[in-house]
Amino acid sequence: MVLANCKFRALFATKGFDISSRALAAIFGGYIVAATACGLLSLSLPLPKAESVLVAMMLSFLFYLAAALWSFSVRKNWQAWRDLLCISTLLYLIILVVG
Amino acid sequence: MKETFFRTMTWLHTWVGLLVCWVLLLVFFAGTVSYYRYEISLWTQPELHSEVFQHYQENHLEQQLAQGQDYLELHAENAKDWRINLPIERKPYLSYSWQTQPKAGQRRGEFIEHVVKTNDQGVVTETRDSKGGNFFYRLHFDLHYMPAKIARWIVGFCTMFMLLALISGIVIHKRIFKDFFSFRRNKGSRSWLDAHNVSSVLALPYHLMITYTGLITLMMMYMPWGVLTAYDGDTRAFRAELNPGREQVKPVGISADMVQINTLLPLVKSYWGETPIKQVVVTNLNDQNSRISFYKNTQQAVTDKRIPLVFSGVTGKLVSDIPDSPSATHATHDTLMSLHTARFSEPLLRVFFFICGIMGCAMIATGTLLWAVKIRQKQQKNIKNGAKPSLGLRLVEGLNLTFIAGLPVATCSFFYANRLLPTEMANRAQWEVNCFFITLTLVAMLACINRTQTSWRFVLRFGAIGLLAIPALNALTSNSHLINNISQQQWALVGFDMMCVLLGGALWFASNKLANKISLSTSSSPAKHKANITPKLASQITSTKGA
Repeated sequence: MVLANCKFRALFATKGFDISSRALAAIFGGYIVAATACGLLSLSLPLPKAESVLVAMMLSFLFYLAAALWSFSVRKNWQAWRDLLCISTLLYLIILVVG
Repeated sequence: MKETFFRTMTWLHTWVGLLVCWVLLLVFFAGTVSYYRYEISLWTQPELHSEVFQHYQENHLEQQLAQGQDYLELHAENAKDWRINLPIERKPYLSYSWQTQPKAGQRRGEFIEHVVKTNDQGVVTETRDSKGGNFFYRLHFDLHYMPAKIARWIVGFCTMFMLLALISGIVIHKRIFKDFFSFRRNKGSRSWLDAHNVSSVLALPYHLMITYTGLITLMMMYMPWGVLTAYDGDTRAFRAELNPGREQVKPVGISADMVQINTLLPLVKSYWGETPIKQVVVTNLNDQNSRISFYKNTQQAVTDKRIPLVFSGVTGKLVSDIPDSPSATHATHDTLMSLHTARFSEPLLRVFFFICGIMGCAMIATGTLLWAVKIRQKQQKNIKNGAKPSLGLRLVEGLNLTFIAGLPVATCSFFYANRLLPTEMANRAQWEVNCFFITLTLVAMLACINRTQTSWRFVLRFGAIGLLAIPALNALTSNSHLINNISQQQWALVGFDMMCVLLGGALWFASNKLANKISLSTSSSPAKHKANITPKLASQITSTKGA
C-alpha cells in the first residue's frame, strides 16, 4: 500500500505528467471557460439578443486563449485545473441565476 | 511552468507550433491558393477558354434574362431551382445553371451549368468534370477523405494552436523591432531564426487576422453555447434573426404561371440603381409560392452578406424586407468574415493577400525547419559516432520534406491530372484529387527512405520543372495558349500561367542552392562549407556532414 502510494507520488511528480495535465487543462478546461463565458455574455450583454450572442461568440476565443496561456503559466499544474474549473463553475452558476 | 514566464512562453511556442504545423501548412497553403479559386476553376475547364468571355452589359440584361428563362424552361423544366449567373470580373461569362430534384435520401440534387457562347452561337454543355479551385477551397477547412464535421473540428483545433503560437511568439520576441531589421545570411540555425522572424513579423497583422477570423467563420460550430443559453438551442431562430433574407418558403403544390423575370428589372433598378446584378435565382418553379431572388455584385464592398431582393414569381411583388443599415455588431461580424474570404479585393489587393498567405506558409515552414536544425545540432556528436538520429527528429524531417517540398509538387500534379486524364473517365473529378494525394504519398515514401538534401533537391526540381512547363501544358491541351490569351486580354488565364512559372522559378532557385551546397560539401572543408551556406540550405547542413 505504501509502495503503491510512493509510485503514485512519483508518477505525479514526473515532467510528462505535469505537461499532460497542463495541456488537458488548457484544452478542455479552457474550452469550458470559453463556453461558459460565451453563454453568460450572450445573456447579459446590454444588446439585442442576436447581437449579444454574436459578440459573445466572437469574443469567446479570446477567453479560450487566455485560459490556455494561464494553465501553462501557473506554478503547479493542479492550480491550472483549480482556477479554470472554479471560474467556469462560477460562470455557470451565474448563468443559472440570470437565465 | 518553467522558471520564468518568458521561458514558459518559449517552450509553449515551440511545442504548440511544432505539434500541428503540418496540418497548418496544408491549411495555409490551400487557403492561400484559393484566393485564386475562380481563376483556377476557369483554367481547369479549357472548354471555356474561348467563345464565352464577355463583360457585364447593362443594356443586354433584359434580353439575357429572357433568353435564360426560355432556355431553362426548355431544358430544366423539373429542376429544383434555376440560376442565371451574369458575368462578373472573376467569372467573365454568362451561364444558366440548375439543381435537379434531389434523389430519395439526399439533401441536394445535382448541379448542372451550361455556359452561353457569345454572339448567339449556342451554349457549351459539356465541360470536363473537375473540382478546380473549389478543391483547394474545400481542402482548407474540410480536408479530404473524411466527414466534413470531423475535419472542421481538426482544423479548428489546429487554428487555436496557431493563435496560441502567435501570441506566445509575440511575447518571446522581445527585440521585435531590432530583429525586424536584421537578417543574417549563411549563419546556420541563426539564419533560419531570422527567416522565421521576418516572415512572421512582416505579415503579423495578417497572420493574427486570418487565424482569428478563421475561427470566427466557423464559430457557430465551435462555440454554439451562446445560442444554447439565449435561444434555448434554437439555432434556426438565431440564424433567421441573423440573416432575415435567408428564409426559404416551401412550395404549396398549386401550380401557377410565372412572370417574365426581366419585367422585374425596373423594380430592381429602383432599389439598387446601376449596381450590377450577379445572379438571379428562381425557386419553387411554377408554384403558387415561387420566388425570384436578385443578388447584386457587391464589388469592392467589404461585406460577405448576400442580401437578395426577393419577388413573388407569380405576382412579381417584392416580398423581402429592405434591410436597415446594419448595427455595429453585425457590421463587425460581417467585416471579420469578409476579411477572411477577401471577396472584396481587386486584383492588386488580392496579390497582396496572396503574398501574405505565402509569408504565412514560410513562417510555418521556417519554424519547423528551424526546430529540425537545432535538434540535429544537439545530436550531432552522437550522429557522428554512428548513432541514428532520434525518432522525433527523423519524423519531423520526414514530415518537413513531405509537406514543404511535397505540397507544390502535389498541386502541380493536380493540374496535370486535370489536363491529361481522359474527359469521359468515371469519377474524373475525384481522380484529380486522388492524384494530388498520391503525389503527396509518394513524397512521403521517399521521405521514409531518404531525407537528405538529395531528396529535397530531387523533389524541388521535380516541382520546378512541372510548374515551369504549365504554360506548355496549357498550350497543348487547350485551344488557347499564353500569347493568345495575352492578346485577348484574358488576364485570369495569363495570370495562372505566369504564377506557375514564377513559383516554378522559385523552386528551381531553391533546388539550385541545394545543388551548390552538395558540390561544396564534397570538395571543401567544413569551415568553408559553412560560410557558403544560404539560409534555405542550413537545415540540411548537418545532414550531409553526418552522412
